[in-house]
Amino acid sequence: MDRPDRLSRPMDAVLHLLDRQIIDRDGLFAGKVDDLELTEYDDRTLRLTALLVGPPALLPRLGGRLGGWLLDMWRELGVTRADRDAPGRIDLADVEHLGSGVTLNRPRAALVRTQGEPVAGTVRRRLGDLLGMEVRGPAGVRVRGRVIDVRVASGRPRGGRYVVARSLVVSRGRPGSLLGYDRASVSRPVVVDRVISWLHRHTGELDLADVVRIDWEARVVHATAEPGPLRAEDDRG
Amino acid sequence: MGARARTPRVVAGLMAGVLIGLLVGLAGCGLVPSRPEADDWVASARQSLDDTASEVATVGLVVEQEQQDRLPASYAAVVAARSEAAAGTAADGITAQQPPDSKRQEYDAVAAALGDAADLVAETRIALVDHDTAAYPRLAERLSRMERRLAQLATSVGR
Amino acid sequence: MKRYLQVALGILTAIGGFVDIGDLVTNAQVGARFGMSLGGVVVLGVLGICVYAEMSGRVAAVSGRATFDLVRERLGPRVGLLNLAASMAVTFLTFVAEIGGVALALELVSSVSEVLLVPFVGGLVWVILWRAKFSPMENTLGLAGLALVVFAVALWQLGPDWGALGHQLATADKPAGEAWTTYAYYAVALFGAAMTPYEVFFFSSGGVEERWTAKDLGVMRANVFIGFPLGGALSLAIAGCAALVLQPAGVTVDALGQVGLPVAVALGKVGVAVAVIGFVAATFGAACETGLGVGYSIAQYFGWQWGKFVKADRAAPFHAVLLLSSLAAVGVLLTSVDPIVVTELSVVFSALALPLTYFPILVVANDPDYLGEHTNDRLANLLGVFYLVVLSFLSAAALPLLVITKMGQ
Repeated sequence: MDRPDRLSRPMDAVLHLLDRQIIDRDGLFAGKVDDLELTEYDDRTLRLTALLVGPPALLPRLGGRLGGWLLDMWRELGVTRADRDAPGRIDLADVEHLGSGVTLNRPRAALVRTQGEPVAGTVRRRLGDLLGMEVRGPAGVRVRGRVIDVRVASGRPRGGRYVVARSLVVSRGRPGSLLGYDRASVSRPVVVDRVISWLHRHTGELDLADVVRIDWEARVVHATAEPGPLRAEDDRG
Repeated sequence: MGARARTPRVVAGLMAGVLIGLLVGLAGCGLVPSRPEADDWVASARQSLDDTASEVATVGLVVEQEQQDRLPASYAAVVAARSEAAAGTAADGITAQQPPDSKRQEYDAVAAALGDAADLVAETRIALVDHDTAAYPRLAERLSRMERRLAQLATSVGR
Repeated sequence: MKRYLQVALGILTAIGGFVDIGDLVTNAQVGARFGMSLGGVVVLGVLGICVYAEMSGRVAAVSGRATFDLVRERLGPRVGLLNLAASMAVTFLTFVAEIGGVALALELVSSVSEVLLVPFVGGLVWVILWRAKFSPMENTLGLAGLALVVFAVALWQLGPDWGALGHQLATADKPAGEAWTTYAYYAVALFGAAMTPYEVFFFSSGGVEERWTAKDLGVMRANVFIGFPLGGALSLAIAGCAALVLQPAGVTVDALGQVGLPVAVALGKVGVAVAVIGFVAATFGAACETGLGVGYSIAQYFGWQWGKFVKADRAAPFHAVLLLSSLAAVGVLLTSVDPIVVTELSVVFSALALPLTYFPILVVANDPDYLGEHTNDRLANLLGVFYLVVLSFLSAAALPLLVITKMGQ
């Protein structure tokens, strides 16, 4: 349990943070990381700012008919509530440590708040919405594959956590279908590794510096370059 | 709101599915018994005979152990009662079906044997619950004869 | 000294807790029909549960994450949810079978009909899940389950030709007159009985309950590699007794009472009494484990507080699930469905559902992010991949065999 804090190192948001157990200061469980709040700034940088929890965060990620149907049920069960679709929010500043679970620096009672209004000049996004987006390279040519993960790194702390998105992982698989085999750390069992790497031999990394625009409505990422090969953890800064 | 409009349709589809399933399921339990083909009838007759033979063997074993006072009384009674119920179910398995015309004679033999076996198991259960030790030797003998009769029938049926 | 006592206690409860209604019924059925010829499947299944439990126990000890945490983290919420639904359905089915098994065992001593005993048993299981502390619960029921050792004694008393039994076991000699499909069906059922998914949910969640750390890995391995094989040996003893007494007598097993008859032949009344205590303890223990298993898996998927290491009011949703599933299980049994039939179904569906939770654990057991230096070594991976293949194969075969053989007729 004394392994180093993942948040202070570069990491893959889906692989290392999404769907992890949230544990409060006293060791009590306080939900799962159902989605992540990304804040989009004027200069188009994306920062990871909060954990999102609760059915309004989880159900849209289920996708397909099942997700839509369950989300409808969720709304109808509390049809009078205006904030029924609003996910709960846990600020990144409340996170003490990220290991195999997310440990908070405060007790779980009255922990989760609604998102509230964003700071002027920023837009609230969700990681779940970014996943599965298609990618268009130079001249609008479609890149084979979709966004399956976002690589983030912590910037200089400036009043609390400051974790910024650096690049997108693009692959033909679905999010989670790589089971971490495309990233450096997991390498065995060799047989499973080989099969999965072969299935996902087209996984690439697209630097966010090469991204011109993310069209959140049409769910398309416009980039000026093709995704390059996936970088090993040590090469990232 | 496409998703919203879809919800009732999904529910309606589910309901319809359940109702049709129920209807199909209930159709099998109609008042007129099912009419199996000759081969199927032979297979289910054999199954019933085998199942019943196993129950007869079970109470046989129980009587044998009771004779030597090696079983708690309630245990023996419960095993016998379970076997009695199972023998009844096995007999129903064949008598509830309409036998094919070509198998009428065999049906009579099978039904008679299953009925006799169920009666014998019931008789044994009664003796076991009453702890009627005097009846045990004769019951043991009749049970083993019944086992042989059922086994013979199971091999000869459909030949 | 205290350390050794602890290890010994862990091993003994692992032995006593290994056998459940599925093992009792399936082993006796197979012994009575096929002799020891399917014993190899039990050996394969026991080694499989050792590999699987060791990996998930190690992940739980080192990272503090239990099975369904990993399922969701690795498979994502959608596939994870479908996985949860399937695994929970199987665990619930097993839960129903275990409660029915307790009722059947109590019926043997009380002569009160099993259906009337069901609400009482269900209520008792729920009270224990609600009030009892984890370790005393596990230890008491596990130790009482050791009463099933009477089957090993009975086997020895029956004085079999050990060479012939061993030969049957080694050569997997299918009795003439049994179809290959039936033989294969019972092989799958036996494997599913030995390697039930709930055992692993329970084992890994129990590790978190008892706050294992990397220091406890040795104790955990001793429990797994000594306790489970000895528990498996008890399963084989049950099959052996059935093969020696029930098979020659022409009895096929369709009731719990028949399972204990060989003990009467070998050891008389006292032996039967001990066997019944074993039945009650083993099925009751497994009922608690499967009940908790249902609660664990759903709470772990949604991240709710779970476990008996906190007060019940701090884990309210978890305890609500325990209450509802106990009620539902009693409701199913009150329809007077035969618990033995439920058991037969549950072991086959266990075999069907195994790869769902096995695969994510195999992957995470190789991830240094979770396990640091304790990732799988070569041997663990060799066995891990071998069982991945075996499980996938059996899982694919389970349903077709169930249909073709009409549940093994």
